[in-house]
Amino acid sequence: MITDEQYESLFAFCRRHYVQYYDVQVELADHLSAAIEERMNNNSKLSFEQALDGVYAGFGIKGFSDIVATREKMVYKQYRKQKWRLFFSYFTVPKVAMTICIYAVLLLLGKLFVQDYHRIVLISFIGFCLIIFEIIHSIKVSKVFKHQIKPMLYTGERLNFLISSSVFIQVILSNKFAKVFELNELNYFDYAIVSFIFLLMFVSIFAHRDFIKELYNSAIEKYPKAFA
Amino acid sequence: MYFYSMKKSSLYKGCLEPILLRLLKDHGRMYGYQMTQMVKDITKGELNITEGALYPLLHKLEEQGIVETETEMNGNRMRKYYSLTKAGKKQTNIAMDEMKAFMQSLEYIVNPKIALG
Repeated sequence: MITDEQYESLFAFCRRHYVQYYDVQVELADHLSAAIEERMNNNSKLSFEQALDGVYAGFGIKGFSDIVATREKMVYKQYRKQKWRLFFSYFTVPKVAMTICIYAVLLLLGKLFVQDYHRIVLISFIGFCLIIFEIIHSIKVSKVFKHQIKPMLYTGERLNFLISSSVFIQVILSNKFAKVFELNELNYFDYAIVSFIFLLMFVSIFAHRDFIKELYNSAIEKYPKAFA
Repeated sequence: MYFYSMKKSSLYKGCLEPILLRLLKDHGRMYGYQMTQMVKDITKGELNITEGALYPLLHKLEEQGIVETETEMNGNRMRKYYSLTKAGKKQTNIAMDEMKAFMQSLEYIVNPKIALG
């Protein structure tokens, strides 16, 4: 049986072999410790270091690199699927009711502003609100993971997929784009299209908020030691 | 000897996924090292699953929703267990049927007398 110090040294060993993510280290350290113990049980003369060298040799010339690379790829794919699932959930029952309500409010606001010029002011204001909403959400995400003390692949993707609304809104309201779509005077149909794009951005932030909740709960449950 | 074992491992290569699925079906939940040892024991040392093949495959199966994971503290140590999801159980049955059909086809090739009846 290896000691707790020896077990902890396996994490340092993983880091020396370019495995920086704690969640990957956990699996490798467990595998290494179980294999080392078996080797030491079969040959009592074998030291911990000798057994570790022998076990690591079994990983082949690429060492841990293939495992880390596949894990990175798979986590990215898994989260992309999860994020799309949460995004589309706002277009199915029951959440679609909320989506329709938001869009209805946007359309109603557009109706209240009778003049085309006023609609461009309104849409700029909604765009501004969207940017503020996204900034607040990003700050909240950073706060949620503030007490994560070890880097994890599992939570590393947390800020991806959040549509950068500021970039989109800048494009939509830029001079060039505005001229093409005659956004200087926004008629009601154009207003409805632009506000639908804004609606998608709102939904993407809501979906991202749900994703962060799922990710955080799962990370805390699976890797409690990664958090202070 | 080395050449022989290389040939043998390439024969087993395509069977790794059904082997892991079967193990998980029979034993509920397992951790990585346990799987390598169990395969070694069952095959009396004939088949050695390398870590470089095992973990990428397990991570792929997790991404596909065929297996799910849970971690458990064992004293100061943390262990990651794999188990089949509902979809994974269905997939295992399909994989086993395919494997049996494949083995039957191989039998016909290796022993043509059986095929001729």
